Amino acid sequence: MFASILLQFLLCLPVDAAISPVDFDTQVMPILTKSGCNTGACHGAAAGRGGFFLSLYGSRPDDDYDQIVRAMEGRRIDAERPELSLILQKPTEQLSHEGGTRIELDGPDHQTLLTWLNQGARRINGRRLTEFDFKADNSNAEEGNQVVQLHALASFDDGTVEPVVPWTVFSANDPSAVEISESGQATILKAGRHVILARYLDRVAALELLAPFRINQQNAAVQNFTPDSVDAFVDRKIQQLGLQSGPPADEAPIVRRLSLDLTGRLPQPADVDSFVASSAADKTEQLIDDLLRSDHFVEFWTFRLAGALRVPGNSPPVYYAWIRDCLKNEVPFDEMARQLLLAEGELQSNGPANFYPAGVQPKATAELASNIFLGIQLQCANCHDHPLDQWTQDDYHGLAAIFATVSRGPVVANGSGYVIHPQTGEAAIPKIPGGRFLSEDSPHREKLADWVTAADSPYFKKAIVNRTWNYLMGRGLVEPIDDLRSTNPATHPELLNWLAMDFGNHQHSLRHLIRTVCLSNAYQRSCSPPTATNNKSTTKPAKSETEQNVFADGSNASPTELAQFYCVATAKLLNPAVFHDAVNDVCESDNTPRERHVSYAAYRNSDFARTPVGRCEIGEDCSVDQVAIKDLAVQLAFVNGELLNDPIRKDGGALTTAISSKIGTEELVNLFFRRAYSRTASARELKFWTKQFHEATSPDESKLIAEDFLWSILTSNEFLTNH
Amino acid sequence: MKLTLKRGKLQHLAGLLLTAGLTLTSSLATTLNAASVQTDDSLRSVTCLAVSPDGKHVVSGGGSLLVVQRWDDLQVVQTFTVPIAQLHDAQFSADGNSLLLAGGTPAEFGNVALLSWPQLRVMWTHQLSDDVLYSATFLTRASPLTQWRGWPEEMERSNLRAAPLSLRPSREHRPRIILTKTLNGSNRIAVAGHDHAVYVLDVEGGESSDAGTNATDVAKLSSHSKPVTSVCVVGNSRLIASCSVDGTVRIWDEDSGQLARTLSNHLKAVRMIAVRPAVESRLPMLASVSDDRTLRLWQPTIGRMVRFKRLTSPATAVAWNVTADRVIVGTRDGSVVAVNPDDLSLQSLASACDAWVTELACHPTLRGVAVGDSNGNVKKLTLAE
Repeated sequence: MFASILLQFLLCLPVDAAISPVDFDTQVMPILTKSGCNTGACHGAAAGRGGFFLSLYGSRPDDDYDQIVRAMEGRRIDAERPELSLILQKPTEQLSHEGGTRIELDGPDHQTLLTWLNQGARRINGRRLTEFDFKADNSNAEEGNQVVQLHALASFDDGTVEPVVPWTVFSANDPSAVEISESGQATILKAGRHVILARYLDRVAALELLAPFRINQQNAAVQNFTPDSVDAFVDRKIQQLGLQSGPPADEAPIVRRLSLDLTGRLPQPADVDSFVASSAADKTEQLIDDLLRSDHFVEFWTFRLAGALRVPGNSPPVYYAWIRDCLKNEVPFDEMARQLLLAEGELQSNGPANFYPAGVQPKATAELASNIFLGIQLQCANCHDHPLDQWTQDDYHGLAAIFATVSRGPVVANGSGYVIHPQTGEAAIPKIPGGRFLSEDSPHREKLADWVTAADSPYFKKAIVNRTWNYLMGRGLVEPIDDLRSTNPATHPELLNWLAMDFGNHQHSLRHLIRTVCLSNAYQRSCSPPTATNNKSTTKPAKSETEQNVFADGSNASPTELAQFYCVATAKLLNPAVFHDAVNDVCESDNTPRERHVSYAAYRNSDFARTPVGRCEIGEDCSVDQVAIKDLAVQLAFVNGELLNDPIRKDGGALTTAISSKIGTEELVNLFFRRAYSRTASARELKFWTKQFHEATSPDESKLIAEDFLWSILTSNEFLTNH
Repeated sequence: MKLTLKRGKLQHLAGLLLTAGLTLTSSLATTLNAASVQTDDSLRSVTCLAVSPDGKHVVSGGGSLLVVQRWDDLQVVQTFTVPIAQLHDAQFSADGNSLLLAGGTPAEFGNVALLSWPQLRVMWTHQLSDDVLYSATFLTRASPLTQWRGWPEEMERSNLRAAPLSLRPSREHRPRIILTKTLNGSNRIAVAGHDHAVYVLDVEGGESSDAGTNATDVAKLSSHSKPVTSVCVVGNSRLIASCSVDGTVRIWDEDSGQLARTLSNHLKAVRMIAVRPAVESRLPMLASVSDDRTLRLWQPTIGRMVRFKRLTSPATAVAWNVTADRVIVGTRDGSVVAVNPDDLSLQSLASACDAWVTELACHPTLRGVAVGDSNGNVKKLTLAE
């Protein structure tokens, strides 16, 4: 009786419940993300921080709620005195907090959290985010419009749509180029292409802002854009940015460029002369076709594909041979992928079966497959949902579970293996990444292969297109080349789509793709910047003198930016193996048989393949396969090591032969210029070296000068790059 | 304690009183859904749970509130606000005369308190560490003894049913409380908490009638690299066992304060340990539960893991029943499992809660176990024979 009376009395009291309940998922979580609590540098780290674990960027609100309210016996919540809860006192730094002040005391976020705590820190069955829309007033910043207002709209399943800029985390790919205020105003400080990411709850969206380097008159080419070639897309971007494309490269450098890119070899001087002398209108096209038909192309691109597939040096010869046969016989790339994914049989007799080498964990195979065939970095989802993409731990471990059904040794799909999902502690359920879970009785690998190579696959064709573009152009349309995702947009997304479509329309032919790229003006441009113009820049000039000194075309675009948008060609550092072969090609006499570093024999011989100038071991992930000479040891090897001195001084080598034949200085200089640079020496260069040789007082000194001369060629930037 | 309760507290008390008139029964459990009576303005997890040695009462705590319920029907007979901001452990002394509490204020300090039972009079409090204490245990095999000279008559008549605090006797009428020395000359306890350490303390009471606050630090056992979640004494040996978020169970020599051994088979944080009630002619056995979804059984005196049982969810609480033939395990998914320690067979399974099981306490004579959860519920399960 007493109780009933007291209860009625209490029910008449005004209660806080009159305030609408705070939704943990859509009102508390955004505050944690906005405040940086769940970043990888803070409590979102895999190991948490200070014993407090949050999911990275709030990808798992269930776990986060448990961590805040239940973990460590609920120490972070004080039900009796909510204002004294750790979850409030730490970020407002009322208690010592290593992360400093993250939430303003008595500010709106603090009040929201306090209200939630006062309401019992409960997790109501609230609304769910259905769509996140990120846009700007004007993504193409024009003159005088360097401040762009960003908008972030969240749509929820209860039908509400709310502007959520205050709880959206904005970040620019180049913070020194774009400043973003709390209110979502983006101030562009530098011209160029800028990507801004917006994160709200578990969604991330990207927006591209273009700030022209110069104002163009309304260009007819932009308005009458026809998407029918590589150059149409490249030129449109150049015009949108107010840049100017550079001149085409001279003929001799084009021969050298194509030869190195397609065969990994320096062109023979006679071939260069023949090309230059030819008056055929389609001589470049003919040269490309000749190179694509050559055995050297098959040899070199087998070497490249083996590296991309991370073929171990000790793998059975049939694996390398299978790749070579596929290239030689123009097996469509989707068919190659299917053969790899579905391989079965003995490793020694079936090449593709070596995609499943013994002793390699299913997770490693999943990472390799996603990297090569999808161009994505799925490995992030091993420990946590991918912070910048859709991939979840279910995707990662589900894909690994598919490969776990393959027993290794002889490769047999017996379906007996499994991988443990770290979240559940149970065997992960096989799953198509981003798609459905697979039933036990379905042929898992067949389903995967179908999905990977499907005509409408958003990844497969783009992955190989982007990788090939990177090989030929010196940079990927998406960088890094194995990081395709919506939040890392391509510099030329329409071009990537068009090339992928074209690749698919031509039976996934690698040769067709290479030919298409090599025939473009963008590929055949000179590395020299365009002629200066007097157009006025629309954006603030670069501040430092250094930056101003690099302006080349009248705009304030740096050489890097000019190359990024293919106004000029990129001078690509040689592949380490190609570099060694090139050194031998220059230094060895013509008749000397030599083992090539891009050959299968070299690939198998790890000692031979390991060079001071290469950072990458055979069988490793070598996304950067360029000569690296920054280390002191490598520089010393260049300056005074056997790396170059041995081939230069070799008895019977090209230099000793030339000296012994007593050819003239000019002939000797041009001999090696033509071998190394595919051109003759300029008058200035010839004058310099003639003077050096004439100062020699003895044959020995003359020989030393000749060695110095060849050394200077081999260490020059012009030799080390494919330009 | 002054009777200056906020509206929320009044609602809470009203709820308790209302519920005291109700008894929810089922074939498996008798339940007091504390969450439903704690009003909507707080979510107070059950963070400590103990059954009185005489088996008549269940004591649970959360926040600074201690709730005493009858075992038979789980009716609330008393609530008590303790001088600790967040309670995390409650342990009865073997003789049933005192109740040891541990907790503290997060990120500030830890508190330990000794209450008389059943009077719930604060006999001794102490502050230590720079963060909360999660666990406490009596080390003396005979716990601190309290000699009662009798309560005032009105207190005796109240039978402790929600004894109005205003009826507490004035100072001059309070009975004398004497903390007598035990055989080894001290009233020794061990506490452990968030600061990674295990503290061994001698409670200093004496002849004073006031609640004491002094303690002699005997040892600080520092080896864990993360918060210590549970501490207990290993049977009748002079060993102390502790477990930690660092994934280890560590065994300490009480006399020297040295680390005797580290049991490191767990793969994730170890949440609780419990020592098997003494079984004649058998080595002591320790049960530990972990976020790695395992129950592991150890022989701590020789440092051997005897066997382990994989569970379906991260485990949060563990206790032995009185006959030592079952290990009771609570998990995050709300289930309670009784495991036969000899063959690891599951003896019973109940989905007891719709929240994390946070605490378990077995009845000293019956085959019953009290279960506390993170929503503030206390339930009672009966184990199958």
